[in-house]
Amino acid sequence: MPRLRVARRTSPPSMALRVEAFILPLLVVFAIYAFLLEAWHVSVVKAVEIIGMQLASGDSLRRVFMASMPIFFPALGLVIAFRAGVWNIGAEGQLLLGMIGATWVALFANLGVLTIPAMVLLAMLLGALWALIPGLLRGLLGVNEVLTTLMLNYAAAYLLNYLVEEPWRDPHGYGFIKTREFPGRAEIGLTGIILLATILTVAVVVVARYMRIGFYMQVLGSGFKAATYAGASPLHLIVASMLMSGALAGVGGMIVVSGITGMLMEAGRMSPGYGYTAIIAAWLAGLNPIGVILSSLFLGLLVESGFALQSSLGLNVGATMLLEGLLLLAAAAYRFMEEYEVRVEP
Amino acid sequence: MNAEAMSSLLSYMLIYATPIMLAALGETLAEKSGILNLGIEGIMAVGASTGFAVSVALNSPMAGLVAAMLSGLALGVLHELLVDKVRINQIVSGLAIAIAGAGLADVVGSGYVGVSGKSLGYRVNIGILSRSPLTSWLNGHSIITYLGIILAFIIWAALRMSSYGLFLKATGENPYAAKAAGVNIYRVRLLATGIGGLLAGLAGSYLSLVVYSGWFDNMTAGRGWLALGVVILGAWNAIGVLLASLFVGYMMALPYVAGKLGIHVNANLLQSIPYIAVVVALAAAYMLGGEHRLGAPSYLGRSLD
Repeated sequence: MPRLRVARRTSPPSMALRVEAFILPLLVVFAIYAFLLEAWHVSVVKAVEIIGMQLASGDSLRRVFMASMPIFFPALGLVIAFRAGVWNIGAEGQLLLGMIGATWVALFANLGVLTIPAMVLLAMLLGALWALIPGLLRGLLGVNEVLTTLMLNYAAAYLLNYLVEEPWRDPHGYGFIKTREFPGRAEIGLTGIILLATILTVAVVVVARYMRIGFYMQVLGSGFKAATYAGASPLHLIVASMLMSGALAGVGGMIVVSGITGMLMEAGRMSPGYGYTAIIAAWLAGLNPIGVILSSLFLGLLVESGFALQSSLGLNVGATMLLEGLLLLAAAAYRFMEEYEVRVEP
Repeated sequence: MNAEAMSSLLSYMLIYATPIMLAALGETLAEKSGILNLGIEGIMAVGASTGFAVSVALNSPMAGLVAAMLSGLALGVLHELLVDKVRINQIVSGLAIAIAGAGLADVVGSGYVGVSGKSLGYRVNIGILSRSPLTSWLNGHSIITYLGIILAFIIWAALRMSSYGLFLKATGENPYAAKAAGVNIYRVRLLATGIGGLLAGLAGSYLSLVVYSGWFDNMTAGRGWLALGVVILGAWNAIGVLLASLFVGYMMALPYVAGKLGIHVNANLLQSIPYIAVVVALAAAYMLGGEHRLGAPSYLGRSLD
């Protein structure tokens, strides 16, 4: 009887095969998802129409772009961390800390034209500090960072909820749990966001491709021992990749408060899980910083369509998360098909 | 602290510890076979919502319980197949199941938010326990709690004394040697991960059928992740896992008796305690031992070639 055997590829796959390996799992995932939607009595044709409508007008395109930015910045940072083999699953919490930092500047510091740069900086600082805790624990003691970063996501949400409920709450909010609305100087515009995205993407590409630390990080990702032999300190590399990814996740949070909501509300209303979606964006992009631009726009479209589907077809946010989980599997399957081949043996 | 407050604190501790204990015991089995299943949080959520939906649809909490366990089993098996057959990285596959599972749970449960269901019942009442305030907190819980505690001892004994336990440990420590010795390692990994999923599903249905008798979004609230921490804190030992889940249950119970104890702090700050406690406890555990001295299976998380 012929057997299927999975073996590591001896030569890199051709371009055609790569495209095939990328598209095939995605098609499978979309087919499964379409089947589930139909099983749930949701018309796939209508759903596709609604997704298409998000691209139809300038106004909705702008919303898609805005929804993709809090995914894009954290994903950019996760590319660095995941390449280094550091499993930072805490982008969500680091993003919430970024919101806290940006909100503090917006509400309590009067810095005039420097308000927005200060918001970005404090958001980066708090995001990085939140990531530093699991970074140090992993680097110094070897504590599994998947769990600690996740725990801190929950802790961050509770901290944020405490701030909006008590000390920062708008006393004239008619019972709504929110802060005061931000002053105009604290609201970032489209140009500001694009400028920030450009600067930070270039910075990440430079670090990843042209600096020694980027090279060492990649070595670390391929094996702990290899990095030690290459003369790099794993502790420094782990902490550095945590700090960078935490800072970028913080920027994502700043974009939400400054560009989308213009105030701070409870965590559940501020983020539909941007930090988790960013993990999928990083993987869908094959851990490539430029690819993250495309994957974030795509996921931003899904998130924004998710809201529209919610109101028109009664599909809840869970439906978007389900698709995101399936997409992560597709991205991982792509990695597999790139590295392994399936042979038929007689 | 007065006796009444202490008793209700301990009683809440058992209630909060139960789902974490069940999920962590299941995850211990999976991890002993070398498979890290980060999907527990999602599997628990699917168990909770499917369990409740089926319980309402068939008007039978027992049917809901079974459905929750079967859905957990299916997702556990799915994880093993993705890891061993499709060769997807264990962390990525687990995360995908956690995210997709949370989404699926929301979709399944969307029609059931605010619906009140029947409670599973089967509360155990041992008269002798209720007589003294020292033991009354142990009394009157769901049978699932007591079965969970018994299960911890059964797993502990099985891992130590039975040949199945030996096969399981051998698979997680050195799968190639186990294979050479004639152990069907893929079957062991499939069974262990499947049972792990089943127990996570059961843990979810405990929430929706016993504690809340209903379904709402984000019901699991990170309990699956806490369970993964509990496996480490319990040093991959079933009795250790039981004790570690009681510790986390205690931390989760604190906010609910804080008022009685005269502590008036914002509820959000109190609710963050268990998550911070687990981070601190993990740090302490690694400081004392490190993963391998704690007893992590050597092949945990590694893919087989």
